[in-house]
Amino acid sequence: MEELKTSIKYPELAIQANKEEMLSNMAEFIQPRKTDVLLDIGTAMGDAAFALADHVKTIHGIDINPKYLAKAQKMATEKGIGNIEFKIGTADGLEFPDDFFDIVICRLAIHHFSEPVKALSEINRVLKPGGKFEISEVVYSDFVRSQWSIINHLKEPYDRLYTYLELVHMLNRAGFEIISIRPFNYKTYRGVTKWLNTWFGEGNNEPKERMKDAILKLDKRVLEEMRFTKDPDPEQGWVWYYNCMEILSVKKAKPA
Amino acid sequence: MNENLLDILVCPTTKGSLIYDKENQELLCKSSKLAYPIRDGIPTMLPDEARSLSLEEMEKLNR
Repeated sequence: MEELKTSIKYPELAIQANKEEMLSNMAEFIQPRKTDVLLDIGTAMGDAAFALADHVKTIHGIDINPKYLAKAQKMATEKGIGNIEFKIGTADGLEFPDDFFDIVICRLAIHHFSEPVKALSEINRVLKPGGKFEISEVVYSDFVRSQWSIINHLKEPYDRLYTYLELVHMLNRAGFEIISIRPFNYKTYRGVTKWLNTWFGEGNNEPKERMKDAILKLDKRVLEEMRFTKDPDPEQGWVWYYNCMEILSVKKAKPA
Repeated sequence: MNENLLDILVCPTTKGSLIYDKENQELLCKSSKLAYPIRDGIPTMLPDEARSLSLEEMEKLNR
């Protein structure tokens, strides 16, 4: 449960980067039907669930963080969306029966999972045969990962960072067949001081300085690949991009 | 909480069916002997946060 405790602290602002852009064409990619029942794993404040609510029959949104879910619930009421049910839960032990969902989505969440293989097996279990699984995740080259892991470890020591091939292999092994992929970028959008405050609090300067220092000492190739730019005003702009992949797969039928 | 959910939800560990204790706002699982709390209408389906059912409670459920 240790890694969950850190996920709970996940600053809410950090997950809102260019979300409009990320969510706007999700339905087009997944192609849901009005009759579909969908599970959103790591729903956080429900952004993806809200974006898909009109396209499906029912959505179940689960997350480990009760604060997010309370906000998501409130937002659903304000928006007049009545077809989403939120529950606190984790992917490695899903509280749903076998062959239940038409679609499962998991967006920028699997790096928090302590048991990703078990989680994918659970996702496979709750999906109907032929059901769709959409996963979005930051993907790293081997080299960038080796460097960025050091940075990431300072803020979220329990995260695991993936290469695209690792995700593909995990999906295949868990019984999914990939049918479509598309890359997208996830841009950090706020000043580095604010970004660090969300992780370490306002007063706690030592780890923040360590983190800044570690970022600036990154290999030039990493900074290039992540398109790192340093605004003249350090309070405003240190911008970098995470390379992400959105992968759509289907649950393979079990061999007879 | 939407009571229709009860037909769907299972225990995250044993996948056994759940019994809704409306009065105490809990979801009870006989097979794992756990009670999952419902807080502000949101079920907490985490075994680590569930309460173990007492012998008396188990007997009551089995009656």
